[in-house]
Amino acid sequence: MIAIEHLSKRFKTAAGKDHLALSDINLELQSGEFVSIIGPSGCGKSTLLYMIGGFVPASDGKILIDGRPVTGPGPDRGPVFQEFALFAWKTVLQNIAYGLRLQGKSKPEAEERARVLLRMVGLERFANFYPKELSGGMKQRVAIARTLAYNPEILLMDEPFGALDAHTRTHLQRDLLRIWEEHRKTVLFVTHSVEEAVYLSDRVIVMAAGPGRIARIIPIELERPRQRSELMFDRRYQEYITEIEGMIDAFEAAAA
Amino acid sequence: MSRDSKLLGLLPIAGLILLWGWLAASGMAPKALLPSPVAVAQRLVELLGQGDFWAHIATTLFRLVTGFLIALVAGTALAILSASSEVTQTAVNAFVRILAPLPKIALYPAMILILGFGHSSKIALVAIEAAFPIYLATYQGMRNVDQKLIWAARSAGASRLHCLLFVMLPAAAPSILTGARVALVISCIVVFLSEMMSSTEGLGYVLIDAARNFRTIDMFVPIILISALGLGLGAGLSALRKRLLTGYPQA
Repeated sequence: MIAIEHLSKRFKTAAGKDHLALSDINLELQSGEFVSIIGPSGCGKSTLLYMIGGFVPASDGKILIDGRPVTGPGPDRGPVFQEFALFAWKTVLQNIAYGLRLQGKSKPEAEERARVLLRMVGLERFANFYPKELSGGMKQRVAIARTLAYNPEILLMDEPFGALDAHTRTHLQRDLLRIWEEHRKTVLFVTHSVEEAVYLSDRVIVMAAGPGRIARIIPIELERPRQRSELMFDRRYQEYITEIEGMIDAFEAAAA
Repeated sequence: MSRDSKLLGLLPIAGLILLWGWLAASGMAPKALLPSPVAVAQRLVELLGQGDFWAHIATTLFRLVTGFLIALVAGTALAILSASSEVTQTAVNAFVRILAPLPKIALYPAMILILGFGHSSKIALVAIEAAFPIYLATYQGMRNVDQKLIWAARSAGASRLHCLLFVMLPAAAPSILTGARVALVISCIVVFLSEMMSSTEGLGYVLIDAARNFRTIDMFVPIILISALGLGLGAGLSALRKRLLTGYPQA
């Protein structure tokens, strides 16, 4: 479980002024929950994710994971970035085995588990390829497998499908849901796409900018497992999307 | 590189030799001062038949390569130290800012006094000159490593030290090798200079000895050889770069 209490983040701007990026964030995430964060650019949604990851320190307040405060990065929280952030000098298999090797597993043991994960993301034929030889969608599959390999309880996904074309994106969303149904990790998913957020999540957090804050939390009460093709004809799905899009527009108009 | 572009690369060299041949033949400079490329080539073949000439080449090559390798290790180590914390970064950068603009050749007399006229003073001069471009390139490369690559590694359980050595350093490999390329050229220049200033062996000595005795043809032979040496070592480094950077996007 993740508990965030009175969290805020201040930056010094280049001009030396204080900038409040996040103000008084309070949030609780249950284990196994899939939660998306959406909001206009500059609302601090990625910063919030990085703070939970322990990459960026908080200015005020605290983040508790199962009651323990976050003091830095750790294998209980696995990040997946829009930019993939794969190790260029390692093959696909070595990338996935990386965290396992750090945990002290022997090379054959780590590679065996890496192969299982490679199969899970559908890339078993590409074990000995280098990341640069893969398409964007394949790279992101490798990055997801690399993070799943060390078995974090929480996945922190920062616009993971933002750089992919619409077709690839749909495939990865479907596969992510399939993997999530199977392993039920807690997922915090930052996105720009309202449709994506509604399709994937149990709850959608809508943030507003200036200063970054949580504006609304919307539970998505659509049955699981979800099929995108069926949801397209589901009135409630359409209403969620319209409602959230309207909200974001209103916040942007108010900020401007 | 295709075969065609390799052949294309030979064209400027051929052009240079042609220009030289034309200058020598035109009589603008007396023959005694500017020998023709053919005469120099003949003399080169003749000298390559002599064992003690090979000893000069070996001496220069040894000083050059040893100095360069010391620079590679020292420059990289210094960059790792610098990238490891704010305190070491400030300290190392202050040190570099003072020493980098200093003409290291000015330290050469002191090195000769301390290390003697033999190999060590030349190797030390090459190493200290070549270490700076390697340091600067490695340091920049490590600073520019994508923050998210480091975060991904730290989340997977990598310690700061592990991250420094096994994530940031390999991520900076393209920069390091670019720095090494520059350092190699500098090494060629410096080893030759050091041998010209004070030595009893090596290609630089061969040149200065020929100049003192007014043997102009013999002056040109070591010049050809040092550039051939640089060309050969550069090609070796390029091949190594290709091997090491297999997975990298820019390679």
